[in-house]
Amino acid sequence: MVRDVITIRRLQKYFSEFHALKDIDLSVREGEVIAILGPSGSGKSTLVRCIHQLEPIQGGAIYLGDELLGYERTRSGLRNLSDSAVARQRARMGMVFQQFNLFQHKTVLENLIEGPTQVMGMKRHEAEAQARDLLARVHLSDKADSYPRQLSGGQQQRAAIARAMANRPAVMLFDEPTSALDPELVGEVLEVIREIAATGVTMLIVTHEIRFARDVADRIIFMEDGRIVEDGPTRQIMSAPADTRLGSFLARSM
Amino acid sequence: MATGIGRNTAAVEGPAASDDAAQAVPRGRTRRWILTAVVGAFLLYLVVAAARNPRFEWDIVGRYMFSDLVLEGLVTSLSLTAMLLVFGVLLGTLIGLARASDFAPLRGFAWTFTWFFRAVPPLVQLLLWYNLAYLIPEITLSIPFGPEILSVNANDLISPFTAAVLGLGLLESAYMAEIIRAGLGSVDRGQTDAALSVGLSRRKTFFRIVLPQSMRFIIPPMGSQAILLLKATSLVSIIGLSDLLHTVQAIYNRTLEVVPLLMVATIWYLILVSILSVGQIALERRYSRSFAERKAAVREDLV
Repeated sequence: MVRDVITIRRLQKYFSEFHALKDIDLSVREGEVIAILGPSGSGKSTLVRCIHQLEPIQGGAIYLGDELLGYERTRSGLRNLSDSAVARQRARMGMVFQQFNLFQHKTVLENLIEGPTQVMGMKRHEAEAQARDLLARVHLSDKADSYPRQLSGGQQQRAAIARAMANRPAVMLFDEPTSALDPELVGEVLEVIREIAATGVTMLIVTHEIRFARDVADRIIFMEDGRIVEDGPTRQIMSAPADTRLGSFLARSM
Repeated sequence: MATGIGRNTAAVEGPAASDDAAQAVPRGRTRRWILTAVVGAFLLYLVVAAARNPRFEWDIVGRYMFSDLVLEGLVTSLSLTAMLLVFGVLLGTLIGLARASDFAPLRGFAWTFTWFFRAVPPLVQLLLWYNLAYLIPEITLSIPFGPEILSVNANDLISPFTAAVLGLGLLESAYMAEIIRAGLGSVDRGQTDAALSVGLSRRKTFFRIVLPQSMRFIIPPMGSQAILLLKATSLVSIIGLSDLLHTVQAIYNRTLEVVPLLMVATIWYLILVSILSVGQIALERRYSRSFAERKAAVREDLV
């Protein structure tokens, strides 16, 4: 029996008056790689930021496994979780940002051990050993002691992917991981994501790289105006007829 | 047609083997020499005039420069500066954090604090605090509608020293709060996102990720604030605190050697501010190091 890693029920997100996410329902099964496609402003990034508890939600519910995210049940209804409880929930997900967001004042190795030592209670030498393994997986073994600003964009993003894996998360969230990169650096980052996907890690990837999505994703979600308008196996989605909205989006983006 | 473009020059026509920019004579070199000579001569004149003007009474300056009274005043000025800096950094950090808070009443309070203490001139603040006893003769601590716990006569509480610490310290913390708020705001929002995303609590995010990175923006303006503060302490002479300026004033009121004693104070302030400025330059170098590192990294790429 395959478990659901993430379950979303009737999620609502507002930015003051603007209804950014409307009635989102979604289940992510363990080991599944999902690509989220859609035009700019369709709510893709907001969706992963809500899952990761970086944005408060205004309705519905998100579960990580069986656990309700961000709230606890009390006799009088739901109540916001404490900051430390939310932090513990976040630590069970890994997030990769468009702008990499490596800690600028720490070396690559220090970036990778921050979560394990500060949150997961791992011993420093264990965390360092694990960090070196992760750096090998993203082909950055020689950059452990470099500072982020000494790395190219592609190297920074690969280091950020390794950092996101350092807490051994149940799911990896990617928020447009290649959109801030020079075109010649996109390939190396996609290659690393592909390699990690092949090891069975559950992934939600917001991306504009249609070809990559087709190659790596088991399932594709297409969003428009804050709604999920298509959700299905990659092969089926990619053969969408050109007269549908999805079809014309794919035709424009290829 | 005349082709000359200047008195001794001719327009260049076609390439010549002798043309070489390395041999070119810079323009305006003579003018610079003349200007340097004029300014130099003027400065020399000022020094000689000051040295030879008997009214400066340099022997008296020399006699008081290291006198016990003057040195005591100097120590008072320095310790007041140090105390105000600590006071300003501590309270300023709290106010700065309050200004960056997402709790509106706290933000409002912090805004009002900085608005008031930055708007009222320091001299006025010193006099106000010094005369606090007139406004509130007794400071009492009591249980509301209950008995008094503690009662102090404001005149006993507000000595020139406490008035100075309050008057300049509150002002200083208002400036520090602005510096800290700006520094925290200079750290990219993505750093907070990333810190939360690896599971750090809000407190750890602030202390381990945001604050260390904001120091680069906070420390240099704090250094220049310290220099301004040292100079501002001379204002406390108005409420009779025996700082450097008040000490020399007390001496010349007795001996009538006004100018030589003001020179003593001037020279000491020059020395102290120069020392602080050297420290300030070192601080700025250290905290812009990341920029130098970036340049080094670019060089590595080119090799």
